[in-house]
Amino acid sequence: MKYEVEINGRQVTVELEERDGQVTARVGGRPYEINVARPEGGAYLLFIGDEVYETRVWAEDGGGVRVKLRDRIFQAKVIDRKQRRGAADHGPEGRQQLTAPMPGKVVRVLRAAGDEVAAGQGVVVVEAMKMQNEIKSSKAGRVVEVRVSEGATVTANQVLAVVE
Amino acid sequence: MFKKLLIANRGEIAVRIARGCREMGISPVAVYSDADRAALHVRVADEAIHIGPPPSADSYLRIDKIIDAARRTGAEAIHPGYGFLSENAEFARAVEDAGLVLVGPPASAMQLMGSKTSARQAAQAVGAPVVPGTTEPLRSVEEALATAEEIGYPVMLKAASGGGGKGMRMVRSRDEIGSALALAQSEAAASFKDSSVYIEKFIERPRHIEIQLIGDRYGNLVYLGERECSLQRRHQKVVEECPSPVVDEDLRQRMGEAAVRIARSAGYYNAGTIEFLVDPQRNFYFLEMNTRLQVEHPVTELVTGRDLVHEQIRVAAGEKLSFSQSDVVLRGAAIECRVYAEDPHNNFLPSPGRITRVVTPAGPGVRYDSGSYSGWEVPIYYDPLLAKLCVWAETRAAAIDRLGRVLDEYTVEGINTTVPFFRAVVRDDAFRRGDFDTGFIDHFLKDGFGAHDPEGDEQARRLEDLAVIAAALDVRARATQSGAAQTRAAESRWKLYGRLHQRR
Repeated sequence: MKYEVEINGRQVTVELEERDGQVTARVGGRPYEINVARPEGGAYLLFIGDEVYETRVWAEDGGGVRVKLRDRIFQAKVIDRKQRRGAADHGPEGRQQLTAPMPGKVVRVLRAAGDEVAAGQGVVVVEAMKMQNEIKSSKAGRVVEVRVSEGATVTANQVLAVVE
Repeated sequence: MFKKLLIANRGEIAVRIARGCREMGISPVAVYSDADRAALHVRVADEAIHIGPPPSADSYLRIDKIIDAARRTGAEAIHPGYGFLSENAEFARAVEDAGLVLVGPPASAMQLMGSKTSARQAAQAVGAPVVPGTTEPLRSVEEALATAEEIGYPVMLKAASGGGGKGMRMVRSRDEIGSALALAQSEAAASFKDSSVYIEKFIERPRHIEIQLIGDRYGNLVYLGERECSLQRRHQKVVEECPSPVVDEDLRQRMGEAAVRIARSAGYYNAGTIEFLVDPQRNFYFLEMNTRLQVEHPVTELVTGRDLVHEQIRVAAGEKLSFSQSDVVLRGAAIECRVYAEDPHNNFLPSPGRITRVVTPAGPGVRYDSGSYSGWEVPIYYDPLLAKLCVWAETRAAAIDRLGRVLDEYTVEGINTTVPFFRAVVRDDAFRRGDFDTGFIDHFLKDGFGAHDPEGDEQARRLEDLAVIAAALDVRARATQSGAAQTRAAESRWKLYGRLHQRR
């Protein structure tokens, strides 16, 4: 089996065959002979010669996984080819959607539709876990739409306002 | 001694207090909001009283509901923990008026020391040095501007009833002051129901060092060494240690005695903390008093061998302090990491959500205080503190090495936590040397933590390759599982198809 894996922002190809817990793998052309044990769900114990590496893998929102290995945590995404063709569908050039970075509550709307904003200026203030975060426009422009009002509860990645 | 005690808090501190109660044969009563029905602090209690919807203002800050809960369950005392109502003198008075005992200072001392402005005056009155600034809450932007010009930038805006970095803003120049004041006041109002903000000179490169105090109702008041709390992000402490690497016996005694003088003048008893700023010349300035148990109290417990919660409850019940100043001995070194549900790789954005699994560290010298568990959904309504991870060892260097080991053992799956950030901190040379101030974390983050690789390219590449292999193995395992599920689903659809055709 062949996979494309995105790890910490880099992309590598991994070829992997497994038979009775014996894994033969090539990662970016580097060969590995590994014996695998699975002590519990999400844990993979990799034996390479006399060395042993415990890895833990758990799923993240957005289809990626986290891999913990000794003192490190990697962000990885195993990409299948069909998915790759459909991706990269960005919005129109010059139009910026301001989204909530986390679930929370809108405590203040600083700009109304039609207002001009400078780059770095706040448009909406979202409070989560007692911290108020100003959601800022990354570019100068005009607020064309504000989709939330004060007191509204928002989810992560919800569009709060649109700047053009 | 009390038979039953109500804990007016949530999260790890409510669990820690419940443990103290159990050890003393006292039955712990929990309170909870709708968001916390299955929280750990409820799971460890004997009785649990629902006090309202998730927002704190409607639940954990409702004095009436908490007093009612105590009456209803027959609890004789209330421990407020930290945050929420712990430094609210109105609450302390309501507890006293209801004929209950607050595990904390008298309302009068809380009121005096709880307002940062009157606390400053109290400190000045006993000759303790203070940072230049105002003692009255600011009434307008104009007043803020005028005061800032007088004492010189940079200045700090601080909530008069504040703590924990809420309602606090540093201002470097006059054009920042308007928006900083508005944000500080609104955060102060939201967090403490008091929008008063005052202004203070910002001391450059300070260390934040605090003295733990405890006293009884008979005038016995002792200091239990200091805590080094300079590692802060957004004025919120993230790593604390005891003792401080820069405090020697002489400075400890001078700070400790100043702290005792200040607290004594306020008629203070029970546990409290006096915070000082210490400049590079090791001059110290009174900053504020926290009239409650601190988040970071475990490092003091580890180094002094005293249980502060037990002692708090004993003195609240009218007993004498069980030890005197000469009994207090510091032994070894302890470090605490505050583990938050935040993504350190993404500007520390809050990361609420479901914890799918926790692997907690164990072994020698480890203390783990948590309010969460595998399967717990971290609510969006409260402070994102998940757990406190503490270590103790014979020396500071050994404690840092131990902390490194313990952090590597610790895994929280499902949400982001600040653990990877602490892994980088313990490997940092300046931290290991003890050479830092309150600006350390900001500089550290600017440099891009974790970017350097101590193990060299070859081993790093090998670990990354193995992570790729583990990810691929996991995807295969998942595909096999969901493939099996799809096969079953497909079979049932064929059955359905067959049945539909039979009917025709």
